[in-house]
Amino acid sequence: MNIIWRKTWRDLLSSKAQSIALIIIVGLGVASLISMAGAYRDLSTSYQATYETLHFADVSFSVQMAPAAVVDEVAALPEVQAVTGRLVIDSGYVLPDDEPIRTRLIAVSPQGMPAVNALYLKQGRFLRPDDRRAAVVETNFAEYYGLQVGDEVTPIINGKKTPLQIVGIGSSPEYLVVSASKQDILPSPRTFAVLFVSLPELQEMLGLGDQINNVNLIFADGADGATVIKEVERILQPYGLSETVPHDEVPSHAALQMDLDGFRESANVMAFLMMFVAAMAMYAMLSRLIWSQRPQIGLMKALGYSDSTVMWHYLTFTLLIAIAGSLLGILLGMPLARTITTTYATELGIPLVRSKFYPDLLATGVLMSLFFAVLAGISPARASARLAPAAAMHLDPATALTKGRVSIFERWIRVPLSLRMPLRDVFRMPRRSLTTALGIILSFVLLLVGLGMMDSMNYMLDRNFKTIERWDALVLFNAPQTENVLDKIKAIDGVKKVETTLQIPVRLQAGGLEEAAYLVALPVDSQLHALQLPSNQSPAEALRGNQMVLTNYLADKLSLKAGDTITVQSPLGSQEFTFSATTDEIGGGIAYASFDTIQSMSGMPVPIFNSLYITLDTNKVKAAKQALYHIPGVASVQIKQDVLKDWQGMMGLFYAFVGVIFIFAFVMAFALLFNAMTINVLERQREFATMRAIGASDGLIARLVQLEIIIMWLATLVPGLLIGWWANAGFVSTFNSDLFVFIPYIKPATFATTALVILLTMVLSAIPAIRHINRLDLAEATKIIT
Amino acid sequence: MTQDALIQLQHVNKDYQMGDVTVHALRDMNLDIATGEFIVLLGPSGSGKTTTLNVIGGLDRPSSGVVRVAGADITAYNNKQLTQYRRQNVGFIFQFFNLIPTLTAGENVEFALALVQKDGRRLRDRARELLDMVGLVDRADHFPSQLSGGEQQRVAIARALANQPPVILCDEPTGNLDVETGQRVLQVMRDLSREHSTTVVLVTHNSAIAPMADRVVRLHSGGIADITLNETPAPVSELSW
Repeated sequence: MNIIWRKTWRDLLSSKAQSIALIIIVGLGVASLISMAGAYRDLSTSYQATYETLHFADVSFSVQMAPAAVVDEVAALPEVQAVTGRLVIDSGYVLPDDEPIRTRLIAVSPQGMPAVNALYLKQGRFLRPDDRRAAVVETNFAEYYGLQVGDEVTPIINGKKTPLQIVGIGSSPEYLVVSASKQDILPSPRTFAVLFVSLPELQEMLGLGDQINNVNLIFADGADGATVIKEVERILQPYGLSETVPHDEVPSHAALQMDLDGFRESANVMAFLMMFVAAMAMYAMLSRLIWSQRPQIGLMKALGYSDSTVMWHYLTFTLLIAIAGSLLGILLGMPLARTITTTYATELGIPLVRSKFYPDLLATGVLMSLFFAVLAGISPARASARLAPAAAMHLDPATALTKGRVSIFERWIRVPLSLRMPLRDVFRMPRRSLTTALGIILSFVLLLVGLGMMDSMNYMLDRNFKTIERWDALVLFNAPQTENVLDKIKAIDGVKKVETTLQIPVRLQAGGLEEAAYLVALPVDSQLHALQLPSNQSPAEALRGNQMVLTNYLADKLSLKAGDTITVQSPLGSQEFTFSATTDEIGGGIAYASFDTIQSMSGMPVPIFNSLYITLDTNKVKAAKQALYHIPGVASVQIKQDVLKDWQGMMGLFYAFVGVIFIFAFVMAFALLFNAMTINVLERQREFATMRAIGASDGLIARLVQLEIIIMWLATLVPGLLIGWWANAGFVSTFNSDLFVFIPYIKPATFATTALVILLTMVLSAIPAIRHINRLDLAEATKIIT
Repeated sequence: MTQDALIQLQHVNKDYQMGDVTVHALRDMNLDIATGEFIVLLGPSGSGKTTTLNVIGGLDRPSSGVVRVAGADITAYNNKQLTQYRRQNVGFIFQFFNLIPTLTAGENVEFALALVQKDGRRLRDRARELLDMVGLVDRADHFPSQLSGGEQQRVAIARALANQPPVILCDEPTGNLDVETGQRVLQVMRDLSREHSTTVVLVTHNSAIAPMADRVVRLHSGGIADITLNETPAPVSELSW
């Protein structure tokens, strides 16, 4: 082995623990990239494979009612490859304990698997023409309630509980996430059953004749989607076209995409953060190694080694760590990617899981670690090459560190020597203290990013369900309703207060930008939905006349400022509104206008509504829910407490994901602090050995080191918490989407816990170094010049 | 055994295991050192002079034999007792000064004082007294990096004397100094030894220093080769190397 390589190798071995800690840090950085980006790709491929295999519709149209023959008219368009007509009815469903939930009956032709939005059958078979009272049940719902082929399901059809026998259980590309609508920000198979039934049979039960209300199609290859959509909309317009939902806006797909986007963002941010931490740790270690090896550098140069040889010698130090770290990262990251993919796919019911080996991702991980290694090593390595040999050889690093005179402040306020020493060690050793502080601050960042995610999620839920949504039940109708339905609902036992709203899918246009949203027409004096307006505005002012309130997310997307004009395209036509204020809510794409304004725009002679906010007597929630589902036209009844429970259920996966991030962050932070603390102590072996030689006890040495740690912790506390908070805000915002918006939040208790965990880790990680100091061969250590 | 011997080495052996090889650093060493004596241990590298100093100072333990200081067998001491022994009985002066870089000259002396007394005001005054003794009271508030090598070594002497130990052990105290500065440091040590009846054991490979000692012990291969008694030690000013 080349002698220089041998020296590099020995240097690594002589600081074995620190080198291993660095390898772990780099390894975790690479593993986070490979596992998360790999899982992202696997999940994307899995979704895509599922969509292609099951012929997921490019676009779906909803109408009031249309003759089934309209499908042939659409199919005749040259740019349409396949089309399916369906009858989609939202209704209630009665669980065995009489608990009503929401169901969606999707009636399709029983002649064979639909050409568009086919099912992936996990059990049983598809519908047959001779089936009577039969259904194929969506997988997520079947699995949640343990349903099997041959069991019964009991939707409410025509206001009556109608038992259907399960002939098959299958996954639908439209309901990989069982989301009923875009407003339903929390999909749950617990409260939403999707049942595929025979089209002729449902038509017969509902007395509809040969009518459908939903058309799905796939574009022909090379077709211009926008043109096809316009053409189909023209055909369907006479039948009360209410909604056009392109592939990207299907709630399940949007939710999955949001998950994937969040995944990709967090993979990028976490990988970058961890690699940055690793680079900083390598920088700190290398610069300290070079400092301590200045006499050796001087000697190498005096012996005739060139500047570039010296520079490469120290650069190879970080490169070797990067290579070892990359290998560890690959070994950890590949199985982890598979585990994340399988866990997510199982949790979300993705039927076709594809897992691949991505050599380019491994190469990216290795190259990234090498890039950061060079970045970390180049500056100290160049500094080593620039050292003048004579000066370097004669330098005693121990005495050259402290510059300047005793400050006036120190002369005025004389603290005991036992405190003065650690204070000086921190504040009079800027180079050492800054690299240590960097390690501590990065540890704050890592922990606060992990823990802050959980806090932000919990805060978001708490704020949404306690402060903003003050109703107990949200009732959605299949179609707009009038006063007489309201009277029936008010008469239900347990119903205390009712507020009417209209919720309409709209497209908002402003300044050349366009966004899909839900317009919620809200009473200006609403007691059951509290808009989160700027402090100087009341809902009555913000919603006055043609004024509109948007969520922060939507206002940002449309680049709006107060006073701007928004054009609203809705089934009611095109209207202009003035943007008045933002509301700070978790829902992403929601716009609010005055209920009265929208009523007057609808041109209806009597007030209409399609959703209700209701407060209920807490003892009568279940009975009231059952009664509500039996009101004709009720599509769903969401009980706030149930929705909250669903959130908490879904949080299991979220917490598992954040948990993995947190474990990574904690291990990295520990490795980082271990390195910072041990190097801090070990590079002063002679100093501590001298103290012991002149009679300082083991306990005194330990106290001095720990006191220095506490001072260092105190000095980094505020910047650590602030930078950690800022990093968390950045990280959390990567999860924002038009479905919901995270509000960065960290509980005071989390700040306190993080600070204490870091202090404890610092104190504990210095123990091995203190033990080493207290076992030093004093005769030798008092002569060491490092 | 000498009647007033402060330090006694009796059949002291010290072996080091260096891989497969056993190095005999001290071989059956017997030496008595009297109270107030200024003794120079002279010898080439590997002769055992530093090892002798280390076993006297409690920095190292002999493999066999007994080291007595003021009648106490320090080889029987545990680590805690050795720490206490070093604190109260020994002052060390190292070749590289070994001052604590973040403490000023005065504070370096205070650090040693603080190991046995706690009164802050007394510590500061006493530290200044000691620095005054080595002629550095005006440099009390300077950090080691602001002092010359000779000044740093004189601070180290003041620190070594802080708790008025009966024994001062010096390992090549002039090894890192020029002649003039070295002479100045030796003069301070000689004066202090005489004024306070402190026993000084000075290790050096520089034979030019030998004439100033009361006794010169020449070591070779871990044993005593020769002991020379200087009836009239030479003044430091006459030394030259």
